Amino acid sequence: MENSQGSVWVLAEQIDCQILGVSFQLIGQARKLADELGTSVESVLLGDHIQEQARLLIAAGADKVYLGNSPELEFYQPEIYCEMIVNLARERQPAIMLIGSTFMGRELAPLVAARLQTGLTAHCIDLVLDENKILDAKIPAYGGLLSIMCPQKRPQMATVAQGVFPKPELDETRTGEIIPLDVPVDISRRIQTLEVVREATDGVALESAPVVVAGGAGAGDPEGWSKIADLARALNAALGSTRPAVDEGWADLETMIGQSGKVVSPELYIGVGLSGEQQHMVGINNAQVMVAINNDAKSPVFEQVDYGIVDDCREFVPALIKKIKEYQEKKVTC
Amino acid sequence: NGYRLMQVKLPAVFTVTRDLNTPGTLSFSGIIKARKKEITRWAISDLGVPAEAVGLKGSPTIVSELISTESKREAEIIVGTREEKAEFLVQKLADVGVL
Repeated sequence: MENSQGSVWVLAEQIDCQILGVSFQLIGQARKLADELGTSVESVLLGDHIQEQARLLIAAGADKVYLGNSPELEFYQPEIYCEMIVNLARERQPAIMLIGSTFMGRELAPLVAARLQTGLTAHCIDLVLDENKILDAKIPAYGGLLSIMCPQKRPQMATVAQGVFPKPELDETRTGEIIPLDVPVDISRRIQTLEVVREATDGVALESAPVVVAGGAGAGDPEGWSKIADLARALNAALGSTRPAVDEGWADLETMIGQSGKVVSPELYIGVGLSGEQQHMVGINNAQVMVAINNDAKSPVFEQVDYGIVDDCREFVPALIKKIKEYQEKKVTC
Repeated sequence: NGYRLMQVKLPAVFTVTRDLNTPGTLSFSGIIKARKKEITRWAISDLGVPAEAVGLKGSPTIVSELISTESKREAEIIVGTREEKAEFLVQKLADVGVL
């Protein structure tokens, strides 16, 4: 095999000078791949006032961080970021490039892949090396796992959602190199940020929630959906959804759990009125206990959870909420 | 958790999410007009790209295999009246430490 085995790269992402969890998770996985390949982990970090953050990437397992630190880089800008990464990749020739499938990653990864004329596999749920040390990027499909390979072109690129890989331990004693990058001057800037509007989050964030209640098409209508929302509130759980629920307009796209949505790793997952479609179920990573409520005894969801309730969720959920409240009141008075 | 307001020089490509809008309903006259519209079809020769640059031949990635996955779980179906099932589930939630 004449494929040059360069290093394993992670394009790290920061928002408001905080590196996203998915970037650390990818450094952890990159470390495993690099150790198997006998090569190094390198990361690219672009932003402003993020020198300290670069050290965290080394503590997480990077051997080298290419750091672009400038006011121009404060917010992700596709033209500048893409140009910097493409130039660096052409110079250093990494074998593998990993990016979180965030809003930035979903745009930047294809831009970079197209410029480098290489292959990109999106929303992978696992990354391993085959017997020839070629990256095997796994995505869920047809009820199973598809292996996608990029045999000739380099780097082999993949995007991965937050929550797929675990966060590595940070070792502050690790050493590495931080290499400053210059912002290119002579490139077109057709896209500019005019204003940044930050909105407060309400409720529990899905990705870190210990309890997740997810609703699907079985909710039936907005009234049925509100009952599922009540259940989430009663359990102080995060409320997630499936694509049908989003398409019906009951839930926002940001609450969608699944292959092209969020990945959750709760202690408890309750799926209400959903059929257990692979596109949704792959978004649930290592839940300790899984429960499903569905009115069809033959629903495939019952093959994927620990406890099943066969009942109309529109009737069962209010009954469940009532029992939860009774239990909680008893606890208080004891 | 918010948004950025961007200014973009055209021409440009935009990708959108479902949050963009709610499409309007189809009108009867719209459907009639659509039937009468001519749809331009382009072949690879019209695009001026070599055949090896498109489709499977042009793809840097290949699908190498499909493995079926077995679920590691199988549900214990809770039986009883609606009330009994709800009570059982509440007990389970308490056992897990959620309540």
